[in-house]
Amino acid sequence: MDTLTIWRERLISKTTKPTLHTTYRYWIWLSFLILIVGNGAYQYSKQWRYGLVVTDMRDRISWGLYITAFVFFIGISHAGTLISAILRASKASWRAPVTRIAEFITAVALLVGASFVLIDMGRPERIFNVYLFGRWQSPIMWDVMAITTYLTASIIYLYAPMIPDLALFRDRLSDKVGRFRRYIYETLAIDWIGTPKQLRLLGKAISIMMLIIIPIAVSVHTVVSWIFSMTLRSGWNSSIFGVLFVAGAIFSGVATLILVMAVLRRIYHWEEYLTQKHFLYLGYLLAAFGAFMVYVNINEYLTEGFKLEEAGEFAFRQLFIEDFAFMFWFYIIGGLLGPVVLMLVPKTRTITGVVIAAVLVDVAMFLERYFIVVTGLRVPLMPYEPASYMPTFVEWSIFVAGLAFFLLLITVAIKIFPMFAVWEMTEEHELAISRMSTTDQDTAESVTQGHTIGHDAPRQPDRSQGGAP
Amino acid sequence: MTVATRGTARTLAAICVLVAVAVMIEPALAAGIEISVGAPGTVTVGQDVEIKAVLVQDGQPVEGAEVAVTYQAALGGESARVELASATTDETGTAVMFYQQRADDNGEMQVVYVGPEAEPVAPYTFTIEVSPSGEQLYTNQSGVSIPFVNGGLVILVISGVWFFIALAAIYIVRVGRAGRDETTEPVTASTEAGSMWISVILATAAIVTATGMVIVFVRAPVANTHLTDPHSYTRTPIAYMGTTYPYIGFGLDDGIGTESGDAATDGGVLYFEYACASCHGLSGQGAVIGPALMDEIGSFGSFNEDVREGPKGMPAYDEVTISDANLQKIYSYLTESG
Amino acid sequence: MRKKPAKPASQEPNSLDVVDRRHALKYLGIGAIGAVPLMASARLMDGLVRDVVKGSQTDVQAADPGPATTKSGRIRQWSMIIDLKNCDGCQSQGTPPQCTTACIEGHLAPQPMEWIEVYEAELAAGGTQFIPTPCQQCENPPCVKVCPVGATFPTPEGTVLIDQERCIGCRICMAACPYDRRFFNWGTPPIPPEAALADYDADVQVPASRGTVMKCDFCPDMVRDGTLPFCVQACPNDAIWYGDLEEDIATNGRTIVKASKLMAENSAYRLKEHLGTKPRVYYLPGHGESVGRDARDEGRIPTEWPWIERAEGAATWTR
Repeated sequence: MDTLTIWRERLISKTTKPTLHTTYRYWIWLSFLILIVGNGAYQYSKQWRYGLVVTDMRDRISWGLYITAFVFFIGISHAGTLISAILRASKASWRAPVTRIAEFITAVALLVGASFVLIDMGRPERIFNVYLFGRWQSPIMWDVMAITTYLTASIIYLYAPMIPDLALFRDRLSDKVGRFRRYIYETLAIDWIGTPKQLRLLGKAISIMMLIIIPIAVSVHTVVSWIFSMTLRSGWNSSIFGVLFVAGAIFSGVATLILVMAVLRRIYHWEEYLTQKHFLYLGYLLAAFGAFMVYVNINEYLTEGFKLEEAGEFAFRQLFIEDFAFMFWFYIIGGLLGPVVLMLVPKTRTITGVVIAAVLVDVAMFLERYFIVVTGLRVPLMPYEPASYMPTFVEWSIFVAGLAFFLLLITVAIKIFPMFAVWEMTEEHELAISRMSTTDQDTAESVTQGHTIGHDAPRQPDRSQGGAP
Repeated sequence: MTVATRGTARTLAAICVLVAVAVMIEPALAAGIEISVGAPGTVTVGQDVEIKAVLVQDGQPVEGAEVAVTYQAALGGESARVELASATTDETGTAVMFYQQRADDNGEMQVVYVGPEAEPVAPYTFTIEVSPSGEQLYTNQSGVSIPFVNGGLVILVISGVWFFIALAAIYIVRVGRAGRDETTEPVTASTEAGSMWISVILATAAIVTATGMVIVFVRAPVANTHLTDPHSYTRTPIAYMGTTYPYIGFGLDDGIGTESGDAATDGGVLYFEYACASCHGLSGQGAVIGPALMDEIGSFGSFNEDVREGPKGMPAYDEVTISDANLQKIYSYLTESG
Repeated sequence: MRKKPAKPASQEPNSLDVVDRRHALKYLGIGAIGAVPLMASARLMDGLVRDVVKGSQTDVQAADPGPATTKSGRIRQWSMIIDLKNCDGCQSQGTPPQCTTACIEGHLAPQPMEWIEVYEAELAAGGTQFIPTPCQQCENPPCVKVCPVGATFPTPEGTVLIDQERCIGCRICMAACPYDRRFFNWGTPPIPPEAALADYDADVQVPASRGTVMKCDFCPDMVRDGTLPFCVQACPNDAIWYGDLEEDIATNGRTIVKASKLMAENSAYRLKEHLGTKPRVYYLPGHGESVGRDARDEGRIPTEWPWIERAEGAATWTR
């Protein structure tokens, strides 16, 4: 056994660890999440029965926590795909262990985010009117289109690079797991045996998705911002909203990715693969986006505030010094400047520092979504007293349930799907080794290995070997 | 108290005669202003009309007098004379008034003297024949139309994106096929079934999503015709303005709930269905527009008369709209519950 | 109906070398064939939707002669002119604003909806004025533009209506309306039990249903039938004029005037004109001085909903 095979075997055993070993703590955590989701479902049944009157949204502040949650989760979903697609497209070699987790976050966050639109609807049973009577001139319709497209694309983009790993799980775990998971592996691995033709076809599928998903992801959050900026409200009526939302989405996405990575690393002892380097690189990305967000915010608020149109005065007062000042300044100082400072100071340039920055960013971005939605609506349009909005218990329950559902889906996915792209990591590792060693033997070995990636026992070794160049 | 003398009586009689004569020749005596009007015989709707009025008093032109041209208009049950334009006469006694012909029919037009003299002047009555053009004069001008920037562009972009997604999906399907092609060892039953199921699930999801989106695209021009087509939404039956038509209110009497047998109960339903309630309050106690009915309803005869003729701005309801039997039920509801 | 869905893709540049042209054309061909029955079925589906979802709408349509027109078929263009000189918020009457009250009673508008709401606005140099505000019936309506299902729509008469049977309750129209003139049924609307007897129609919006948006509809049914909207009939000061811009006349229930002349002579303006929404509601500036109101007399009596005890099982809420 050469070093590479040993390395790969260890990686496989680490990757399959969550699938094979389940502790009692996992079940406690799972039941805790189910409990919260169940409470959310119960609270939603109340809303279904009595209508949106159970929330604190009213005519003058007609959107609240639900739309905030929608924007927030759609934002988080940019973690994944965009990061993994950009890193893949730019051939950043350190990305391999990160991508799978990021792609899972994307798909799951999208599902949760999209469901908040349904929860917010006054007549959810009429959802099919969107198909029967849809007008593609409406920003909501663009959202429906963009999110449907993004969800489809990100599931394919999650699935395509996972096929070799699913085949690996099929070959390695079939006799160790129950019927259900065996069935999933056998089904989803779609006869992957790792022939050169399959590799080539898969490569094409992945590169198409990689390129197409970047504009899709950018368009999704731009369109989400257009729900707000296509209106005539002070505070929303802004041309930079698309940029603000997309940048904020990637920002909060990276932060969520860091948090999920940190937790998984801790629980499953993946320190070898999710190294400090990964956290620091993602931390730098966070700091860069934090700085960019500061720039976008200055653009947004200085241009509006300098001129200070009629309603702008109220909007600025409530945001900068009155009702929403705490949220706003926490967002600016803690959420945007915080990560930059944490990454600049050498002492905090550690995994702990990055995780703290990520927590700050996620909280700040949630608050930002909240105050954008609520302050925009709160500015009085006619001579009346400004309305107030404080989410009710039902709203908080459903929001927290959304959060729990997001974690629940990831928790369940960990037990089924390979969380590392074993074949890509092996490829990268090989490249790293071959870059270091120049002996012919090593090179030849790596080439041979390359054909059977993700597959231990080719069903037809003769032909697959024969087809090797 | 003195008895009126003969002389007094004679004087009184003379005054009476004088007054009578004065009344008879009053227009000429009081102001002596005569109006003559030059107007086109026919105009088309939308055309600018010039009305020239000449004011003469004792053969002399009247300068500085204000005149106006009016026509008979009807709107919302009201009918009144509407001033179209006004002008002041120049030194030749001529006032020229312009207006744009907006009504389909002006009826009897008048040029009336407005001031400055206090004495009344007989208006000059004339008619202009209006030939309708049928062309809309007031149109909504909002919006900018830029070629190719429309829903078609959205469809184009989304179709392009989906084309690539579909392409990637096809490659993935081919990955599976390539695996099967190269396998010679007997395929286990579960693998075979699994491969089939993944295709079925993928295909179903793709078809459902694609169909949904295609439905939106394809249906949109059909589904939202009411945004452009005047006949595509359900209206309550309509009538011309100014003419008396049955008032329908909340989508009239389909007879539902009026077969209980109890006249007063049925009448309550009818009272609502004919939208009496919208003006007279829900139980006839009166509201902002309509007076209370409960106590002041009187006999059925007067009630019937009021409903059929519609006093004081109330719409009239004929026998076709509310049958006599139904009206009797409403009457019993109002009298019995009040 | 104009474009085959598959066609645009062929114009997409083959930017990726992985795209196999021959295959692409093959798939496009299949797509084009598939599109034909889909397009054919769209019409079919429309009929189906009408029959199943909206009941026997075709019958009603046959009886529907179209929009209100002049005798030669020109479509009436409804508008409203509100004379603020004559509006004292019904201070002199000692009642809540009568326009609002009549509107609520006539439309059975659920509490707390005031489809025509009398706002009290500060004047620039002290004192207040009352502004009765119905839906502005914009000619460039922001609400119609954003509706994802076409539930709110402009009529040929220039008004904007809502089809509550289609509304999905997403409330983006409320966010888009710059006049705060849209109302949502947050819970089961508090309307009298009798309202259930009415046949729903976008013209009257009775009965109100939970989870849908409502607003002033300009009473199209009433004016077509030869009477005036509730608010116009009820105003004790004749401050509200209802007009037709096509024939250029307006009436307040007492007299008829040439609308353009009335507006020009009284310097009519529209609310938030800079937004470009082009409202159909015009205002003649004032603060009730014609009916003897002093600008410093502030406050009006709040509106009431007379049937509120009778609405069983309904929820009320505040705005």
